[in-house]
Amino acid sequence: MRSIKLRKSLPVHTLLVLVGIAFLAPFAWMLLTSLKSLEEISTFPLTIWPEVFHWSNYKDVFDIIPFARYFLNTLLVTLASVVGQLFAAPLVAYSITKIEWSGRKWIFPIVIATMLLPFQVTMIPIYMIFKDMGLTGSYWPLIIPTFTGAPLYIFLLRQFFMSIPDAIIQAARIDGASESRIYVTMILPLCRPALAAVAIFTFLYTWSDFMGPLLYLNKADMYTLTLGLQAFLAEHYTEWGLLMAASALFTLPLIIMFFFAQKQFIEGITLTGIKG
Amino acid sequence: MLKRKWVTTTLALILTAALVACGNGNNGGSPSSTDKGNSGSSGKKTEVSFWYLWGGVEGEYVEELISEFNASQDQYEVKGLSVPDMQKIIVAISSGEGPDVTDNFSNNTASYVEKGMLEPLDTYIERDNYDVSDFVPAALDSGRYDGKLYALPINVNFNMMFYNKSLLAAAGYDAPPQTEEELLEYAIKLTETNADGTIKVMGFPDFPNVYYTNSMAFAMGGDFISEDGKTLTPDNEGMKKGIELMQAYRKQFGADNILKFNSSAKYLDATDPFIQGNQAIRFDGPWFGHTVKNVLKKDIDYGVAPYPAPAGKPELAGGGEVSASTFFIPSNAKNKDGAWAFMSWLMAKENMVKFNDKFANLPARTSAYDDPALQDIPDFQAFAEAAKNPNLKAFPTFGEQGSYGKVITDEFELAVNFKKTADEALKTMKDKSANLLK
Amino acid sequence: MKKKTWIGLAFASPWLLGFLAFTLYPLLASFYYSFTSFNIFQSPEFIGFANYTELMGDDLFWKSVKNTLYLTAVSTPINLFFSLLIALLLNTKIRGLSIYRTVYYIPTIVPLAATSLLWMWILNPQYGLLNDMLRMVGISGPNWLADPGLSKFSLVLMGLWASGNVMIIFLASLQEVPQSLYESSQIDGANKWRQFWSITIPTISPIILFQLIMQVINNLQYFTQAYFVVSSSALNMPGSGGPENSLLMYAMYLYHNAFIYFKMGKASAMAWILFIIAGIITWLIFRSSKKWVTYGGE
Repeated sequence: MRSIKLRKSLPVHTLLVLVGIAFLAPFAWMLLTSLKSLEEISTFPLTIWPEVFHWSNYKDVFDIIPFARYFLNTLLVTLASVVGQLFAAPLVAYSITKIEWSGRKWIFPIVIATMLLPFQVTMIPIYMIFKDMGLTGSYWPLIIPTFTGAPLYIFLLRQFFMSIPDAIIQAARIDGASESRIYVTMILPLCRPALAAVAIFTFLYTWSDFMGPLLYLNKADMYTLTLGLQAFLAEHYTEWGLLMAASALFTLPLIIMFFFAQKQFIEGITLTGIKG
Repeated sequence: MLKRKWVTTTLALILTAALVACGNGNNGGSPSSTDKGNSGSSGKKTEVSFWYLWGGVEGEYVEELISEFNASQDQYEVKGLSVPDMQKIIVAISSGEGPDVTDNFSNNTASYVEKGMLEPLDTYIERDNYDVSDFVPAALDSGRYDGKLYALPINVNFNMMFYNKSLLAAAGYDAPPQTEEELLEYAIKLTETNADGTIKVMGFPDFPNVYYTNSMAFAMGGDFISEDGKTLTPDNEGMKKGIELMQAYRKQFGADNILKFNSSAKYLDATDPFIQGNQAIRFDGPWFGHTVKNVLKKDIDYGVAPYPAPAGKPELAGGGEVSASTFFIPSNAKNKDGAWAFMSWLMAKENMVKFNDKFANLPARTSAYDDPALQDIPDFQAFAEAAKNPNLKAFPTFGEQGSYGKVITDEFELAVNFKKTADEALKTMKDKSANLLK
Repeated sequence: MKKKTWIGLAFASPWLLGFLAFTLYPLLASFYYSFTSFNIFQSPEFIGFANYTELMGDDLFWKSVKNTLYLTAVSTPINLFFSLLIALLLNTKIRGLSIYRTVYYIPTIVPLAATSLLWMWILNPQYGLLNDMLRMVGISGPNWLADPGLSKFSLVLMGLWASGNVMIIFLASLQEVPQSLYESSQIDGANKWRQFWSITIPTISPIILFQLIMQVINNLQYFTQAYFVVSSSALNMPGSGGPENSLLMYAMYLYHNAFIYFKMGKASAMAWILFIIAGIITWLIFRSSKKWVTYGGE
């Protein structure tokens, strides 16, 4: 029985492994290039494995771009955004799923509609708002909007809240608990997995966001990693080896996070796609 | 319980950090309220914020000069900040969060003036009796608009022809090409191809492409505006020749092969063909030799020569396009006097020499060219000599010159990729730029 | 008002404020700006439809429309098809599912900035990995991102590498297809192929619809990768659109107009045109979905 099953699944495995190699190869190439010397990168024909491991590329990245500074800047914006979304998105989702009020019917369709709205439409006026408030050039324009809840996360949490039976909330209400109490002590702990997904998504999105920092940050010492990477790229005399080392360093925190939070991750993505 | 406490504490910490950082971000941009620009009224130094486009090592050079200025007098304290993206500086200025003085490229001046962004410098120059008589005229003019001076150049940029001596010698040439015919002839002979037709050694200054387009048009005797300054002339004879020369070269070896060669290379990287010894002739600026020899530490036996002359017009040899890096004061600067004090100090001959010595550029004051400090810069003498050539010209300055440049570059690209004939491209350039000059 | 309403409003207030300040007002403001001449230095000046008529005669605008529609039309189906294919392979109760899933997903978490850089290097005609492999089998590889005819397709390839999100959603939805449906159709003698078309596709069709719409919307706003690829060449002038403007995406040209040429009015007009185009396409997809999407799986 077993061998039949294996024989049957062998072609599928072969295919999956081949695709897997194709998916991992670019990664490997990034790491290998990041360890090659200036000369080796431009030799022809190409070498796959570095002749000598040039760890100095990584050191040079730290020397040339203030990596630690950009890292902290990015972390700051990212964590603040995570806090923002965790604060706002579940509140709104709770309001439209578990509180019976007349506005709830209106909000959800609007949330969905704003998901379809290209951000370019609102980009310039939002920019002008922050400019008039004198906040361009600071991190505020990147952070403030997150405290209003992104449509995608409201949507995701709504999906999750729908699965929480109304009965337990009703029971608590009958016991005389206030809505805020129910929300804080009952609902939030219950939807921890969904909140984790929101946190992870926000982290990922903000960590790699390019447009926001591009619009709002001016000064080199306030740059986030994406902007730093772009500035590094646009400068003269930056070799491919260094660029690959910088990219690898930029990606590393996300990969680490992914391995720690894989489960929530997959669940979260699944939640956004299902029962649409 | 313990866990919850931990979470709360962390959140509180993060938020505090966020607030502190945002606060810092704000303060960096706007000078403190004591800067009213009344120089020296209180004896305390007023702050001048200076944003510059340079970053990395070059940024450190700038900071050195800033501290020298700060030590040299006790009225102003210049605070330097690297902002390596000119769009961002402009946007910051528009929101009143910008610097008191900054640098930019001369080809943007006109469009900034039209938006009312720049402070005219004439009153300061008059007041201080500041001497600008020895500036390279084309460079100084690039900061002028409607008869007023809005920006001062710190250096002069133009390209010369770099050629790899060993490659030329191997092909039997002991001198660089002097005329357009020779350029094409040499370039074809200097080119080596691989078995599959791809390029191994490129003979023509096709890389980097952007250094060819306008400068070659000027070198071939063209100009981009009529003499009365009323009509744009992108369809000039020089542009046509520039396109046709490149077309002739690319036809010989296949545009696709040339593109492959060009797109594999990154400028001033290990993959840069001239640095690899795989490009025989190259157009590049005064910094090129310095970068090759002193920064990348490459030992390439090269020579520097003026651009070739158009056929039958040897008197036009050594032409090209001049531009400059300029400094200006935004009209909404908070400490204009301080900005001018710093700018005029930096533009004084001795400091301009120091600046250009570090950047390996050509100073905008011709009187500085004999300064011994500059003579060690690779190719300095060649560039200083070439700067005197009256055939060097500047791209016209007007509000829409950015769009004008884009139209020219786009059509040039289509022509040299054989998507259009030279004449079609020139006609489109002419048509599309017809309404740009108001 | 009822107490419930107040509580509901209070809970929804962050979103409500955000909606008013960052969606509704900007929407109206950009509509107004689109009828003005506005360079952020001087205050807006009403000029009627001039921005719209200027755009209609602007070759670069049309080029950016074509580029973006091409990318959307090519990238969306390829991406969905590929993701579904992988999801189907993974859904065969295969061993090591979680390992495969991880491997296929990792590229998706690489920041777009790094993805763009990495692929520029892989697609380098001479020193790139891809052309090197092609060379080994005797093919002289193309110029990829530098070839005006291939540059957008290169971006599609790049997108395929990072299509993990859609893949995982498809996989999850495949796993939710009730096993009983397959079993009963097997009794009826349906083969795998028929089962796929008569059971699998209809059951997951609402998810396909949702993904289709999200992909289309995202592709219409395509910016970061193209911007990176184009601006990476240090010697490009500001406002460049890549080889023969073949990478000039709609969002990029909008950005150029707003923040390089400071034509905020023209950029706002572009934003509204995009809004309308996105609306029409979404509406068309929804309309067509009545024919191919089956609801009622739950």
